[in-house]
Amino acid sequence: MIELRGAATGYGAIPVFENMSFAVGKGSAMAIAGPNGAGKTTLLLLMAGMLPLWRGAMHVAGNDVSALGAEERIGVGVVLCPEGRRIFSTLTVEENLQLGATTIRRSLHRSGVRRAINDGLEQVYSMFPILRERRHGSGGALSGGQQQMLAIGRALMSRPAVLLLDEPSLGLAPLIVDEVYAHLEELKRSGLTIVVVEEAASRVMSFADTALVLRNGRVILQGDAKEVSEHLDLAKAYVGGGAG
Amino acid sequence: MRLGLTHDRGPGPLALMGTVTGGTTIVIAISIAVLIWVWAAGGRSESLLVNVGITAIMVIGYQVFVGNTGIVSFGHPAFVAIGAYVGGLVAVPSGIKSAILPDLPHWLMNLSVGFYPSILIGGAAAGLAALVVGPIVMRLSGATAGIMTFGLLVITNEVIRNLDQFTRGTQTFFGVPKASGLLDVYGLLCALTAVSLAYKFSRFGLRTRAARDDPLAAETSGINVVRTRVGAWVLSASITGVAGVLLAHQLTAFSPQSFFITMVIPVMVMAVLGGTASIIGGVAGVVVISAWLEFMRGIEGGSLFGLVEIPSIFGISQLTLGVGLILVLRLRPRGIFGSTEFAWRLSGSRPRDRDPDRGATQGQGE
Amino acid sequence: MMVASLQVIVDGLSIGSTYALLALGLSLVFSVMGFVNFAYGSLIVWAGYAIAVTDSVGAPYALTILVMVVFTVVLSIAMGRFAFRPFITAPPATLLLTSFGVALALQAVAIFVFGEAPRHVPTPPVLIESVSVGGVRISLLQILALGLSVIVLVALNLLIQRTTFGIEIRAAAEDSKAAQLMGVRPPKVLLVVFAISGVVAAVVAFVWFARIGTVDPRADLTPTLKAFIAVVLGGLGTIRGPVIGGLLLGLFESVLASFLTTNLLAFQSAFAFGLVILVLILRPQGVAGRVVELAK
Repeated sequence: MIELRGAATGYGAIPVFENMSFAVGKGSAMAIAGPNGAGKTTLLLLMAGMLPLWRGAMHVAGNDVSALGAEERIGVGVVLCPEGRRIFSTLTVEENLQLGATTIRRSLHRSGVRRAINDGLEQVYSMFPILRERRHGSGGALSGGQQQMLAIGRALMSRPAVLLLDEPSLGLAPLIVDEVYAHLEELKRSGLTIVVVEEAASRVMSFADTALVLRNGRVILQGDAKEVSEHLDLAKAYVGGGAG
Repeated sequence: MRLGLTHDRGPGPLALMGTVTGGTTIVIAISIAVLIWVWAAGGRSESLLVNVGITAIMVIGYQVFVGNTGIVSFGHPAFVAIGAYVGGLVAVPSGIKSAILPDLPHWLMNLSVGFYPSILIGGAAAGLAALVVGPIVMRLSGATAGIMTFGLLVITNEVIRNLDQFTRGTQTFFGVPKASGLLDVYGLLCALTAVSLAYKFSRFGLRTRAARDDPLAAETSGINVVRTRVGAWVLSASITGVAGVLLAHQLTAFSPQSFFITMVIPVMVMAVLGGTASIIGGVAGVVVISAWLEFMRGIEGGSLFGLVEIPSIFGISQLTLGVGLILVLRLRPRGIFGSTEFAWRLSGSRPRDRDPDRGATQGQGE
Repeated sequence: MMVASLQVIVDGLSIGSTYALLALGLSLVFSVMGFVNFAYGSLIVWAGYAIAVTDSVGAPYALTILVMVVFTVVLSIAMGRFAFRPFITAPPATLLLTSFGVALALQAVAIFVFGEAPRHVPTPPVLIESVSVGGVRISLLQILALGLSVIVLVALNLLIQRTTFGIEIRAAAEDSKAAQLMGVRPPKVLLVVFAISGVVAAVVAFVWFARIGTVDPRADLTPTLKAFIAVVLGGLGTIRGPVIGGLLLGLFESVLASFLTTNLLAFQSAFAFGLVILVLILRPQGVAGRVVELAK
């Protein structure tokens, strides 16, 4: 569904990674793990079109999307839930969700837009009933877990094919983390392709199908999530650190 | 020993000395060149070069505040005005004073001091004014503080225009002895360059720059952001005030409209072109823009050097300054020098690459 | 006494409503771009010249106003497109300096094209004639000024609070990067905001020049100053702030004008800034502003 071939990018003139390749199939999930500064967030920003591709290519559903910017990437179905959720606190919960439908509004005709947005809202509200309750309240007044639900819901409003998540469990209580992953599981079953970045690898590995471990912009482990996870545990046990 | 570019001072008092004397050496060299030039030309363009020297002091004063705090000021002409009027007032001979300002209090009427005392008094007056308003204005956020510096200029201007008893109001103030010699101006320029360099690399300057780059982190490290800004503001105002007194002794006659928003234009462009975070950059900006304005004067014809005779920088020069400002910000937002300064270094020790002042133009605003 | 104080309030509100619009136009750009646009006063000046020039070729008043509105909006958009959009990711200090450069350039061009001498800006006499309502003198222009301000305010509020485009503007103002991740195009938002602030400037210019009657290249200073004072007084970053700031400034000036002797009136701007300083001592974020970070 989404594929990177020999991708390179960085900030200014400083490269973060030089040659990144992987593919994630439709309806499957990939975990990206690694220590702080490994390049995980950079990788997601690159996929979301916020950073330019220096070399290599990115394909979505077989189409080359390398040259597209952030807004057009959403148009082809790739959307990012950024690190720290970035909920708009000056907007209400429902306005946050409506903002997620910005590209839908542009791509459809007038009559279709309202229905598409209402359907989207209905879908998000039935998935996260708490958001319906708080729909007219400020997005900033939600708890951390609710904000993460809102961030996911907001991303879903653009009807994505590929959902990119940056540290969805950051700062959440373990129980809430499980709830978030239960929802992600549900989305995956419905055919959504998911790429999750987590610094703490344990929870995401049991959710993902494949995994990628980064360190200093290089892939140090890649493959089946279960195997990668075992590898990490081994490394932890014997070296007392590991990449997770 | 050799002279090289550096971003920071390096450890130890010796390195600090090297950094302070480095930039000063360059300015001394330029000053000597100017003196030799005027001497060789038999005094021709002396007046112009005195004006350039005064402008350079203004730019250095401007840099001390804008460069170290990251707040853009539109209000600095107020300090030039305070310096000029206060320094001028105490320097006018008593005989002339009783004629032009008959309503002065007795003690002021009889007061008439020499050139250097008047410079001290004028500079101190500007610094004092800054100290009074600083604590109020400097706790505002960047954008609001910038606006309020403009407000201070408006207030100062109106006060001068209406304080007839001391300033002759909107009428021309005259009678200041013509005393700003080339040697005085460039000597002060060198001294004030050393002062600003010493401030920039002292722990006070370091705290101010830290507060500019990351106010929150600075606060949590125990730095009082407002106090650092007030410090830079007062020093900056005093230097600018000195330039004002020098200007008074150069023009001998002036009026309130000589010191309004127009005055800050060339100063700002010079500082930005050279790099607001760099003192030596400001000097480079003075050289380039002065030459440019002089060239434009040739084209527009007639008037005195741009800064002093205000109408002359209108028209085409003003257009080039405005467009030039935008182009510099677009093409080289950190100016020619960024935040680098010249420093003397023992042969062998190498300058460091990292640039602690990257945030110089980013610290401000909302 | 009663009538006199009513007169002060009417005069204050009518001029204050114009200041409120001025401040609002400035604040709109600020909330999205994070800088105070020094060139906002230049828009007003050029709007004045648009009326003067159209009138000099013999166009009827209504047409001169129409031309002025179109011209001002186009100029504002051009300003946003060519002077500010290239700096969209630059820090606010750079943008503030840029806007100063734009103001200088626009003023220089005005001097070059129109010269230093003031030009007459026509106003139909019916607008400025005062009628007495229960002893209070009031002109059609004052009523228009108030009415137009209310209309602009209501329209702007609807646009920003009730439309999806308003959601995009607010999102871009709060967190431009995150908004981009949601598919918002910050450069487009910028241009629309400049267009809106151009419309506001045109409305201000209409009232402004009908009252003053002349325009000269340096006439940008007063509107810029009034907008600055109102904005700082009320606080940046909201719609409420600049409106309250503008009205307060208008009332304050009107009260000053009725109480002060002529020679103290020369201190008017100094008094206004003095008021600002007083307010800022008590409330650094302005009368109605949000608390802003020390520096961002």
